[in-house]
Amino acid sequence: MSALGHFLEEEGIATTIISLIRVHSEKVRPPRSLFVPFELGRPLGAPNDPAMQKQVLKAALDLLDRDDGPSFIEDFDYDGAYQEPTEDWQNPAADMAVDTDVSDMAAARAAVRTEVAALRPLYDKAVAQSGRDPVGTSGLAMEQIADYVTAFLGEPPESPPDGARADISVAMILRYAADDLTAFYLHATSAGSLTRDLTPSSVQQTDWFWQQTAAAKVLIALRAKWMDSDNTGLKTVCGRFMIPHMQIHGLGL
Amino acid sequence: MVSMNNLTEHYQKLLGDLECPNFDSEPWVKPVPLSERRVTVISSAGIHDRDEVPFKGGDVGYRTIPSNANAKDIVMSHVSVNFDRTAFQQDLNAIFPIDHLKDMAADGTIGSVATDHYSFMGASDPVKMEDEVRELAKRLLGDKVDTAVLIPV
Repeated sequence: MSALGHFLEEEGIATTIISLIRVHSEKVRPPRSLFVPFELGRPLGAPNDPAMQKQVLKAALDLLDRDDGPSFIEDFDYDGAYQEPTEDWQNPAADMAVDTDVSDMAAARAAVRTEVAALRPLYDKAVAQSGRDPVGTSGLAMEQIADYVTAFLGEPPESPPDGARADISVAMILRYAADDLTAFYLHATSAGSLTRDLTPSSVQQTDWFWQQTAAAKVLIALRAKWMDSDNTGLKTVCGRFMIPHMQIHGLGL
Repeated sequence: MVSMNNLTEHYQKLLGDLECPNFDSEPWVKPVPLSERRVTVISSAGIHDRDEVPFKGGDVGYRTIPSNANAKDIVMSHVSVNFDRTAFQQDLNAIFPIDHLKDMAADGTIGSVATDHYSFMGASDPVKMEDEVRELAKRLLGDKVDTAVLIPV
């Protein structure tokens, strides 16, 4: 964002930048940076904390009142701890099919479809509660996504599924489908359970997904299958853009 | 909720060592008073309307998100999976605070909210975004926008 700020200032637009990685602001030296010590992905703080979010936004806007340019970094005053796990949160569906043998494509497909069906009521609850429906980059229905993603455990499909964009490769469709699959599971967990509204921490959500679901087991198997292959598209998508670095490290992949 | 410290040492080093552009000049626009500013938000989160073309690797373009967009329709196609997405999934204002800007305009803290807001995808080389950013600046000036809040993810 710092470079964008540089270009915009040259064109006459005043900019203020929220910075999540202080060293980048120090290197590029944009006019005004507010460094916030938050988790990557949370530039204004935690979700559903409008007071904190407004405080951060106002602090960023207030930097425009200063005249000690041409470049400075302000540290946002925050001493909160890393988010704590939510006590009493339980996995959203105890019968997730993590023990599925994903070397059996049909079994893997059935397992992911079962999980998707089990999570659907929770996903719908999460959408109703949050007003957010984060699935949809692939253009596919979730049941299609379950089938399409697991198909790559074998030979890649030659043609895109119905509803997919016709102007992109099967590897790119796979990336968007994997994004949608992950978003569906994670957003479902944010609703807690059907009877309790306990939102887990982001670490609880992601650890649950990557360690206790058949869907993640399929994605991990796809990475292992394609990351060293000659198929450039699948090598890139599965090797680099599917599993978070923290999970690769944590799972010893 | 401390950034970087909760990442592996390897990933912290990758981020810290990332090559950053080095500019010869340090442009500085003197802003108008806060209560007179017309403000837009520019995100690098790779977000857009569900019906827009998703971001792909190396994409240097931007997507437009109108002020009156429905939060329910905003999805993310950022190529990186190495940041928390649950905040975005639950609450768009945690990364793209349009509702808060509207509140600030309503109570007179800022002058007004821009007609549109924008998202790039931060994983792409920012230097290669230069033409797109300069073209965007002309759009902003056409909408009488004088201030941009730039928000990473």
